[in-house]
Amino acid sequence: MTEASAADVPAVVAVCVTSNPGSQFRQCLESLVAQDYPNLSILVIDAGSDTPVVDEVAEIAPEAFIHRLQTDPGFSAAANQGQSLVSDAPFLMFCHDDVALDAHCVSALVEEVFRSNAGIVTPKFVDWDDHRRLSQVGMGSDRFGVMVDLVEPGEFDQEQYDGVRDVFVAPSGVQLVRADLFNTLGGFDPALRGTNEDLDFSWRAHAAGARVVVVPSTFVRHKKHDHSSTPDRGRILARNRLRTVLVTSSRLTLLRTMPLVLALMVMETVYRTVSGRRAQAGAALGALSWNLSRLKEIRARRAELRKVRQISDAEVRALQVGGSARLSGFFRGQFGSGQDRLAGLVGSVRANLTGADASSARAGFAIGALLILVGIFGSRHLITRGTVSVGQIPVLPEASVLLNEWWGGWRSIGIGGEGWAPVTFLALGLVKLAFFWGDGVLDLLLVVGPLAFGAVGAWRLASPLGSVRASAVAAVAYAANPLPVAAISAARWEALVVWGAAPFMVGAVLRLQRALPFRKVSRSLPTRLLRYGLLVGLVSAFAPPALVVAVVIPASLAIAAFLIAKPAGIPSLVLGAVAAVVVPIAIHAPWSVAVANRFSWEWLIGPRSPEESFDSLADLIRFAPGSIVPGFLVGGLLAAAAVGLLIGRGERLDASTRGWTLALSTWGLVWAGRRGWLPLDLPAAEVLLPVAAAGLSLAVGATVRSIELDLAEKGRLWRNLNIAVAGVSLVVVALLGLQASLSGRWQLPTQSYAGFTALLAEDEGPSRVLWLGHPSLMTIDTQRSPGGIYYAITNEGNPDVVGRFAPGNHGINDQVGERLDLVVAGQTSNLGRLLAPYGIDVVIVVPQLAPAPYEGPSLDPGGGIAPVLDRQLDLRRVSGTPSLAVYQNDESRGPAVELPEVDRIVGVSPAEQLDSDFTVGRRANLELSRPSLWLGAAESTDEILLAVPADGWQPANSSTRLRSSSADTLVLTRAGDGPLGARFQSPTLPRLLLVGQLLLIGAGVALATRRDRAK
Amino acid sequence: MSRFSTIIIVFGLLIAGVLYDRVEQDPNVPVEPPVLIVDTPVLETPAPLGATWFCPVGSSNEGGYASGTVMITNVGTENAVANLEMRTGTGPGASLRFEVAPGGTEIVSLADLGQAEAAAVVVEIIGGQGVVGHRVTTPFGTAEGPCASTSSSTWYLASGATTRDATEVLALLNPFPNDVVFTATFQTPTRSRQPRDLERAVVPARSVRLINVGDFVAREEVVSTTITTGGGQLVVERLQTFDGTLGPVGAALELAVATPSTQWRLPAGRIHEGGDQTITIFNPGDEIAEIDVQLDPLNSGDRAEFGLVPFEITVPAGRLTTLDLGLVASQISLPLPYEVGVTVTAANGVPIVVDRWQLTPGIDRDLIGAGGTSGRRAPGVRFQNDDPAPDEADVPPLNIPSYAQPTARAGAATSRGTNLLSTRWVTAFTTLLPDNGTAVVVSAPEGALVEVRQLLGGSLGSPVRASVEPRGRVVIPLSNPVEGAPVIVTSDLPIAVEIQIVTADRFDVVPAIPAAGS
Repeated sequence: MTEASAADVPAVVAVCVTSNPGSQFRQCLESLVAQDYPNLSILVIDAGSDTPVVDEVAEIAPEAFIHRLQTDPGFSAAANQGQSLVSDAPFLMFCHDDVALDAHCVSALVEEVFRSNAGIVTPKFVDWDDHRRLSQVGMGSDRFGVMVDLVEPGEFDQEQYDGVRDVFVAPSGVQLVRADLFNTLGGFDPALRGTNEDLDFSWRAHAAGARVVVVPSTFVRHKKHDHSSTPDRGRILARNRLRTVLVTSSRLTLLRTMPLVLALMVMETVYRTVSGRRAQAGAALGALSWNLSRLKEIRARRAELRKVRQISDAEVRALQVGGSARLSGFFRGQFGSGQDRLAGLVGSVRANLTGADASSARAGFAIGALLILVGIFGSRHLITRGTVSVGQIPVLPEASVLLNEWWGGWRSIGIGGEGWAPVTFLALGLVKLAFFWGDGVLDLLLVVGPLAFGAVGAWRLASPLGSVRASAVAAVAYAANPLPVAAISAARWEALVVWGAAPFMVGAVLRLQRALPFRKVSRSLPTRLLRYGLLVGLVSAFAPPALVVAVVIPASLAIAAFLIAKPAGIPSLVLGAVAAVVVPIAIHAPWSVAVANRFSWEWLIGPRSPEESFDSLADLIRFAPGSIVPGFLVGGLLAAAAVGLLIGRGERLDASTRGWTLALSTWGLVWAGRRGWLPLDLPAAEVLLPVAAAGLSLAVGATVRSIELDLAEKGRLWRNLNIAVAGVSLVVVALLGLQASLSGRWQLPTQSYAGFTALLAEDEGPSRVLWLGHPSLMTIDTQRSPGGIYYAITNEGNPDVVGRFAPGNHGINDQVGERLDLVVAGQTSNLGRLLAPYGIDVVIVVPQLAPAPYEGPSLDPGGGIAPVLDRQLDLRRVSGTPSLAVYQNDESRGPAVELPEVDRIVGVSPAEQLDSDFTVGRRANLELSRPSLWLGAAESTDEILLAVPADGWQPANSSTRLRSSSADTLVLTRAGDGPLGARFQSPTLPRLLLVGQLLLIGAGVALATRRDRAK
Repeated sequence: MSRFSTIIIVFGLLIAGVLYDRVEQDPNVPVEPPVLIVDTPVLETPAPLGATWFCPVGSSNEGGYASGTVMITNVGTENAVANLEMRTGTGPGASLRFEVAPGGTEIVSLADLGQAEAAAVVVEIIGGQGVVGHRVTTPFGTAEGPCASTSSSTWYLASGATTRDATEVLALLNPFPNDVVFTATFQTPTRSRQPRDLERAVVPARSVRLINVGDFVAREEVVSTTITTGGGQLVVERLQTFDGTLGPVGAALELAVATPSTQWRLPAGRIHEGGDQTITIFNPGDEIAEIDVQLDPLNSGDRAEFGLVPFEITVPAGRLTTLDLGLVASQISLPLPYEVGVTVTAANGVPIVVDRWQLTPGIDRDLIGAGGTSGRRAPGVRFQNDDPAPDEADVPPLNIPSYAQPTARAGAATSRGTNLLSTRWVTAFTTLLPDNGTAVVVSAPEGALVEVRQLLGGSLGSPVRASVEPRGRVVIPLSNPVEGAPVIVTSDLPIAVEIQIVTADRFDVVPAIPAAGS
């Protein structure tokens, strides 16, 4: 070839795209000039370089053509310019500005293009600085648009790849392309900037029937750049990959691939979030929206590809790697390498450990992966069939309702009234907004999310022990505990929240105490206190009993400090207990002030489980009542935790002792409470026991670490014995988790009452429901009448989470409880008439957590109210609601009623109410727009009684005048033509206080996350 | 602390705790005492906000089976408002709202409210302290009794008659807004019957349904009835009439019993020659009932003289037994006529219901005395509503241990007795007949000092007191009482009270109403 003249060989135009080139550019030009190919022209496209490269090119390659673009449109769009600038050249060779070609490169490529009848050929890439190390020998790809290196990083070139072969991708660094193919394919995709333009081009070339071949007999040196710190790199990668898949896949393939792509995106998002790379967590979502906004453009490119497609997707697919390159990379440790904190942790552990510890890390990740699989397996029915809203499982209304509940100054609890709402509603509202695309996913996460959080927390709790394997086993020990299944079975969301948070709380207190091996912290005591307080504040926002748990943990660890004769951290623990109360109160103000005014210990500790029967200490130790879980399975957990006490040394023994002390003290506390030995009632067992479970998981982690480090010094027999005990125990623990996963829904009831009560919403006009049910059965907080009847009131539909977080009795709702007591006392058989002034037109008795086939116990609403309802002359039992007793109040006309003479008809005292007659009125055509707007057209009356406290309401329009009736309810009076309506107007001051609350929380978080040095 | 110490502490605490827990666990879960369900009409004390009374039997049409009159009495000291609503066989009827003054009685004739063959009444009384009774007039006589203050899902009647001269009508009132499905079962001494037409039959919402028992169980001298509902609640009352073709003539009202009890007291009654006096005991449960029947004479000395010891009866499960008191009297040679109450006790604690029937044949004789007082006509208690009440300390107990009313020539009285003892009773609605025609009959198991007053215009009239010895009994005739004014019977110890009405052509026993909680 070298002796051939230009006329004998086809013309090749080297299109070199450069933009603000580095030092390699000169060598690049020199290598092009030095090519032995006689018919090579050079076209340099200067893509908006700050300093034009014309001088440099003129100096090195004076015969080269230069085309300058004013801005940088990206490699693809710039390279495409070559298509229009060059004519009659049968080959185009695209190259970057950071490559240096072997002098024989172009000749070899052209030769091979003829020999192989290839469409695209590419040379072997070697390291810029060390040409013995391979960089790329072509590339592969999976069907999700992820490129795969075909050589190991830094692999020595021993000619092991020196055979011409087909590859899926010709890297855009240097590739020789037949000009007709380039024209047919329309060049590179200009929308792909920064990455994936070569994959897209090669993929389409394959579809068009062209071969892509690597020619290892020649090479280019390539300067590799580290893009890990490039802003938005992950985001660009994600969207380019998705675009590549969308453009190149056929419709049928797309149908099969897209669900997998979306699933991978979700997994990656979750992983990024958990691993602390929140900034990148949104990359997948961003990729989706970026491509959705370019659907038209994508369709056009798909149409173009369809025109030139020669071979099917299946044949193209055969050239790609199987499975997901990302997942494979993850399990090979390449995924996000160096990008996230979890991987960083692993890396640091690896770096500091021996080869044996590296195997520990691999085992740890394998265990973690298995844990995830078991979690998915155990949740399979929840995933496919959805969750149900029973018990405390939160039912979230629209995001606007949640946000208004926090911001609006009107609490929708019961009949309603002015009041503060916790910041919980702000958080839930924002979460609801974020999950606008999938309520079902959010519902699922609310149930199983705490399980995952708990496992991650247990992992983190044990991580200071210094072994990934120990962390993983601790996570398994925590996840396999039967307690959360009992909590889900009883729909005890508060217990689930505490379950998810307990390991984090224990870890925070251990760091607060600076106990070994948790001393490796770099924060001052006030910061650690603040962090613990904020954590407790966050948890208690969703589960108020967590405040009690937050005090129990430092108290237990103080006992442990005595046991291990290291009392130095006890003052910190005392301060921690104080912070656990003070900080949450501060960040929840002004709601916490309102709570304090109506404080009820009974409310704080929450209701007992509707299924709880932890009758004995053995039940508590088993973490499950009665015979739900075979004792020997939990015995395995205890045995695994106990081995650490026997063999551990130093900080492992300390950790084991601390874990056991947490477990023992929590069991003892709950046990003492159940036997009535304590002056105060305690939260339900399943709310406190997560502390014991976290303690045991720490002890299990210490056991594993002790086996790794401490057994080496023991005798062989002793070593083998302990390993056997621990091994068998861990297998049993795993069985424990597996058996819990068998139901596929963690024993969550399969049905809820929502289907039945939804029928009530079909009634005309607004409706108000009085719920009678034991607190542990109810989705919302209940009030307790003086006679012991538990009740709650909702406006329309099913109860939702806005009815939660309402301590103590309040306002006009109290009167309803007093009326119920009157009925139980035999004072009247006309409960309906007593309830009519409060607008209550439906009474529902909830007997069980869920309807059949649920087989749990029935609980009475208390006070003897249930049997009395059947003896009321004005309550009509509604048929067709099995499991529920639903009564229609014949005396009520709903919460908004047109009455001819309001003040004459409506009485204040019970006797007057009994003599009141609402049946002379009719249901007003007002609609409630939650949370605090009533509006509608009143057709033929001048006055409407609205059964809400009168304070804070304003006319919604000029045709309405408001006044308070004698019964402390609101009366809408007609002041002109038009609809009648009223709107609750929140004063400005409370809103300022809420802004202040946010500022306080923000300041707290800023201080707590600040990196300061411990003195 | 050493590893050894830690291990000892951890596992020592665990093992000790579990062992202690096992030893200390008390297998005997405390059993809550059973809740007493009061199913007899009671006067709630203090007065409820709104008391509801149910009067199932009655008709408001001309020539109806039981022309009804409702009497609403306010025994409280404040005004009461009464809402009276009629329930017919087809649903709600007319309603009436009126006030009742303290101590006053309002009498409403159902005929004034509309025409209905079956006209039950629901009365709600708001304020005051109301009691409601009703009187029905049949072609064969007048009967009266208190209305019910409770509803129930089960009702029992120990006795009833469907012989050729007798008609037993059951009125099933459903005052509630839901239909009630019920099943009626009848038991005779020899067999049990569950008519198909009365199996899962319906009483529509807010209506009353009449059942003529003779249509299902014909020609039986004694029929027990059980009504059970499939979920809802009813109020059941019986009207028993005798047309005189076989001797007795008269009418008797009786509320059914909702909850069987282990003891029943029936203070009023007598055994006389030619009369038909029986006690029927119905055991609706699943166990045999061992019954003691105790006669309660006026004079305690009679117990020893005539050997009045409790006699024992066994009533099989689901069966009934009838005891002929006339036969008993002849066996122990009691001098007739003999004034006597009855206490029926289930010795083995099996709940039962009872019914005492006193049928007086239309014999051609004047009123005759009883219990060794034959022919003596003691002066009755005269209430002095015009005179200022004397100092209560000055009122001596009335010594009338052996007084008895004369025997009527005709009439039919039935009584289910009472399973309650109370220190305060009201006899508010009864037709108070002058000239000793009405008497208060008191049975006092522990003895008592009994005081009888009439409530006149919101204030109590002068008291009449009687002393009753333990296990004793007294008959206090009311001479010249004020019509429509309630009579209040109070005592220092719990007593049982019935009202006995005797005229030449009428004999009736009407339950008094105990005050709950006293």
